Amino acid sequence: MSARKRKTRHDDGETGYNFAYLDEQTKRMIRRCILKAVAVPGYQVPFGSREMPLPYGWGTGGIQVTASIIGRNDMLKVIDQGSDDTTNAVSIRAFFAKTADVATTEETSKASVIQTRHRIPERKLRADQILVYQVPIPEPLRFLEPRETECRKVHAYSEYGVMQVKLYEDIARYGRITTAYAYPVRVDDRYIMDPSPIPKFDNPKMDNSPALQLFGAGREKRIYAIPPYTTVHSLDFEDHPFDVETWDEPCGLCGATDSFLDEIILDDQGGRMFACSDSNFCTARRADGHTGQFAEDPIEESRKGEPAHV
Amino acid sequence: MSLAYQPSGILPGFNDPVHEAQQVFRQLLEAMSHPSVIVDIETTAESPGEMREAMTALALTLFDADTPVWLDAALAERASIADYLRFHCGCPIVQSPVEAAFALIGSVECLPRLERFSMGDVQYPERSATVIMETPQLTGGAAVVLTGPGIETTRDFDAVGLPDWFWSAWAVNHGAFPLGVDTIFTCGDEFCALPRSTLAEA
Ligand SMILES: [Zn+2]
Repeated sequence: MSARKRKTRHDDGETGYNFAYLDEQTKRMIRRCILKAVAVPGYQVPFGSREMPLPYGWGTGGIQVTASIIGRNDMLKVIDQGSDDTTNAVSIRAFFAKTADVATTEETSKASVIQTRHRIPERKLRADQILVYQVPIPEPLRFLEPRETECRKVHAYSEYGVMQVKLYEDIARYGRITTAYAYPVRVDDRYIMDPSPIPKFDNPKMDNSPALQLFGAGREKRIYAIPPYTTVHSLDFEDHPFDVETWDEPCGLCGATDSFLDEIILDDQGGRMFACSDSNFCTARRADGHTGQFAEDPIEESRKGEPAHV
Repeated sequence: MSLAYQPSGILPGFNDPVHEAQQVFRQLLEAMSHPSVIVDIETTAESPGEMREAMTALALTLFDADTPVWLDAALAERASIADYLRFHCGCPIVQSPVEAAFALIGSVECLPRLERFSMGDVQYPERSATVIMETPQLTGGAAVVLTGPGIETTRDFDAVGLPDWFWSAWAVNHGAFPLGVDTIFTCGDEFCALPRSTLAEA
C-alpha cells in the first residue's frame, strides 16, 4: 500500500464540527455502554456523561444517547409530556436538525428514533423504532436509600424487599399504592428499574414492546435499556394488583377513550375539559374524522353548561 | 486538525469514519437487541489477513485506547492485524484473555473456554468481555432454540463450527446472569449476536 492522507478518526473533517455534537471517542464510549445495557436489561450502566450545550433537566442524558445512535437516514421525533411543540421538544429537535442534519417529524408512525420526556406515545411502536427516554433520577431506590454504594448492592444481590415494603406502606396507609409517576418496574424478572416520570398509565406499553427502549440520565450518568420483547412487570401485590388511571369521559377533542388525558382549564368560570396528552395521536384521530364534545369550540361548548366531568 | 498519514503496509480503515461507524453500530445494536438475527454490512475498510469484513468493521466501530483487545493465535500470528488495530483504533493488545474488553477469535474451533474471559463484577456486570468470533457459516449447523429478551417467541440458531463444549459452557454463562460474556458471531461480511441474557436449549 502506498501512503495516503486520511482524516483522523476523531473529527468529521477539518472544521472541528462534530456530527450530532459529540466527538467520536465519546460516542464510542456511550455506544459500548448502550450495548452492555441491552445485554443486561434494566441494569444502570455508568457512563462518562459530557457537558452539553443545554442545562441538566433539559434531557442531557437522552440527548447523549440519541446523539450516539442517530444517523443521516433517521427520522427524529421529540416529545415532551406528549407534545411535540413545547420549548424543550422544539429545542432538542432543532439541536439535532442543526448538528446532525437529520430529518424530523411529529408523526409517531414515521419516526425511527423518538426521544421523550415523561410519556410513551399512544400509538403502538414497531420493531424498527427506538424510544429514548430522558431520565432525571435513574435510581428507583433513591428515596429509600440515598447512598449510591448501598443501592448498587441491593441491585447486585436482588435484595428488593425494601421496595416492596415501601409500596405496601402506601396500601396500609391509603388503601392503595399512591405512586402515579415513575412507578417502579421489574425487568425480565431481575432488575428493578425506574421508568422515568411517565404516568403509570404508560407502564404496560413497556412490557413486550417490539421497540428497543433506551434510557439516559445525564446528571447521574447512567444508561439503561429494555430490549424488544422483554417482560416488564409493574410491582404490585396479589391482593392489590397493578392498575392504571382511567377517566370518566373521553377526550374532548377526538373522543378517544383509551388515551392518557390532561385536564385543560378553558376559562376562569370553571370551564374545563379533558384532552389527549399525546397531541400527535389526538391530531391524527381528528384527521381521521373522530370528534369529541368540545371539538368545535371548547370555550363555547363549556359555557353551554354541558358537563365537562361526570 | 492534524492529519494522520497512513504508514505503508497498513490497510485503510473506514473512508468515512463518522458515518460508517454510526451505521455499523446501529446494525450491531439491532443484532444485540434481536439475538441471532443476521445482519450484513457494507464497509469501505480493507480487512487485513484472516480478519474478515464484519469483524474489521466492528473493531473500527468499537475499539479505542480504553478497550484492551485480545487476539487468538490465528489472528495474533499475523503481525499486520495487531498493527492495523493499533494504528486505526489505538487499542492496547493484551496477552491474556481475562484482561480483554473485547476478544477477536479468528478460528472458532480454538475458542478459549468462556470462563477465561472477564465475566464482569456482580456490582458492575458491564465490565465483562465481548467475544467476537469468526465462524465458517452462521447457519446450517445443529440448531439450538433461543429464548429471552429480544425474542418474541423462540428462535433457532445454527452456526457451524462451534466447539463441542460451547453450548454447555453457554448454559453456565447464561446461568451466571447478570454476569457473563456477550458474543458476536461473524462470517465474512455478516454477523449476529448472543447477549448473556439469551437462554439456549437443545
Ligand atoms: Zn384526543
